[in-house]
Amino acid sequence: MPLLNVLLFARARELAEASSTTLTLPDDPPASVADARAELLTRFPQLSGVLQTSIFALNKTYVKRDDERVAIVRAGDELAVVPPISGG
Amino acid sequence: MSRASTWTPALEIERDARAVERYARHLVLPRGAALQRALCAARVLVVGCGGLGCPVATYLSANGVGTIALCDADDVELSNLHRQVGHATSKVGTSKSASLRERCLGLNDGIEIIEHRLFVNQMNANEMVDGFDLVCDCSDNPRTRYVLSDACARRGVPLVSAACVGFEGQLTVLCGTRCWDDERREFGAFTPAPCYRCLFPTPPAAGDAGTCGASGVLGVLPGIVGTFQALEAIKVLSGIGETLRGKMVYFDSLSASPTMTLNMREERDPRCACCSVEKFDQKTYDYDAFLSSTPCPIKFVKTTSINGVDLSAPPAHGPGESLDEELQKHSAWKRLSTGDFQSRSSSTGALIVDVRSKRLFDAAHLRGSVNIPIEMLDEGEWRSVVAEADANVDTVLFVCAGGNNSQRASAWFANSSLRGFRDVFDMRGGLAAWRRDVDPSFPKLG
Repeated sequence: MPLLNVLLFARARELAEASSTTLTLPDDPPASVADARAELLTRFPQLSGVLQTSIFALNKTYVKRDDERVAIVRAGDELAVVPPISGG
Repeated sequence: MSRASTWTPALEIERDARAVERYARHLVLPRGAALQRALCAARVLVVGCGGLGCPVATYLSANGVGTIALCDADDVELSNLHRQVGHATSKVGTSKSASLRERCLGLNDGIEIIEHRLFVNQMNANEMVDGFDLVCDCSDNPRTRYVLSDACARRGVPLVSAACVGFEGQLTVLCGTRCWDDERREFGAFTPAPCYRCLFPTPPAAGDAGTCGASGVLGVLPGIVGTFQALEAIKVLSGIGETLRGKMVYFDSLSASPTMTLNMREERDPRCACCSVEKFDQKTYDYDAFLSSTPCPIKFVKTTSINGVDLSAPPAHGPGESLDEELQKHSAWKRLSTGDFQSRSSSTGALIVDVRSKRLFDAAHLRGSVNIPIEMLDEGEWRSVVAEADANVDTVLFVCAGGNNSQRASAWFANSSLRGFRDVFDMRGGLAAWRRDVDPSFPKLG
């Protein structure tokens, strides 16, 4: 059961009231970023809006939305959730 | 005695002893003369003269960028000054672009500063970015960010995009790069890169955009991120070092390791609605539809579409706009002017409900008002806040910062089981209008 460390930023951090969280995901079949997204939504339903617009970066590398099903998550990986910020 | 010059300048841009002296600490750097030639030749557009625009414009000016255009239609406000360090207290109430121009020319009288006292929009964006070697996005709202990126992507102008809110900031290089060719003494070919839309194809929902007015911002943060942005502009223009093309720096003020560099996509998104389509007509593109395409996450709004009017639509650009002419025709509540709101609110059974965030409410609120932030508004929250007073309330008056969320709250309340026989109102223009019309001493918090 891989443990995935999730870093939350900006509005996602504000809504979840946490700057990081740990997700436990199944390893057979191996979990993907898409599974992590679904698990995050279950854990934090209030993120439904902000997750749609956020960048997901696995181990600091951007995951294209189309690749989320094939991007496999391994134990100890880090997923950053980066919403767009608008202020200036 | 002959006054003929006895020396050859490093710059070859202008045979000006003051310029050589001014940039002396650049000129002695490795490749410093080429760097300075690039900066002196460069034309940079700075969009937004606020928290980011101030450090960007002042550093680029001091560093000798030859031509800088400053673009902002706002006036300086007192609540800007804790972070917008290019503006003096004496400039409150005057044009931001003019104030910053004066500051920049005070730093460097050898450059040209163009002042555009306007906002970038879809009608003027192409013309605004044309002719510049680089654009810095120092704006404060999602619409301007998409409009500007769309224009830069289509017109082939590098865009250094920074943003910050609260304790966090982000910075990246978008649309493409074009750097100085010192042998040819001109800027070289444009190499495309992903645009803002390629990274963020889905716009933030209304309320999730993270603006400084609503969420606050640590004063020093835009100073750091904006200075980073100026550095990035210098690297992109001169070609020194490694740029943030294909990368994003995320800055988290409260962390002991505050910067994190993310590897972003390197290529444009082949399905991008702007930079990967053959024709993109910015002037006719429906930005309203695009920007409202992400549903508002506020819980009551999900079920609240009244007579075909979608309450989740983001507020019109600019404070106090009504969502509602259509809504009002069928409405079970009424909008009031500030004056009428004041007289209604003084009756005994009146309850003023302020739906701004708790932090804004705590900073200043109307005497006697109660706070239920709009994202908290439901029947349980209502009962716990209004509590025993509820039975005596015959008039409910909703108020917010600009008169948008008060409409959403009124529409929700008027159609909820809480309403009973009570009169429901909201105030046009919100507390911004209250300050303008009724009590100028009410603090401007936006």
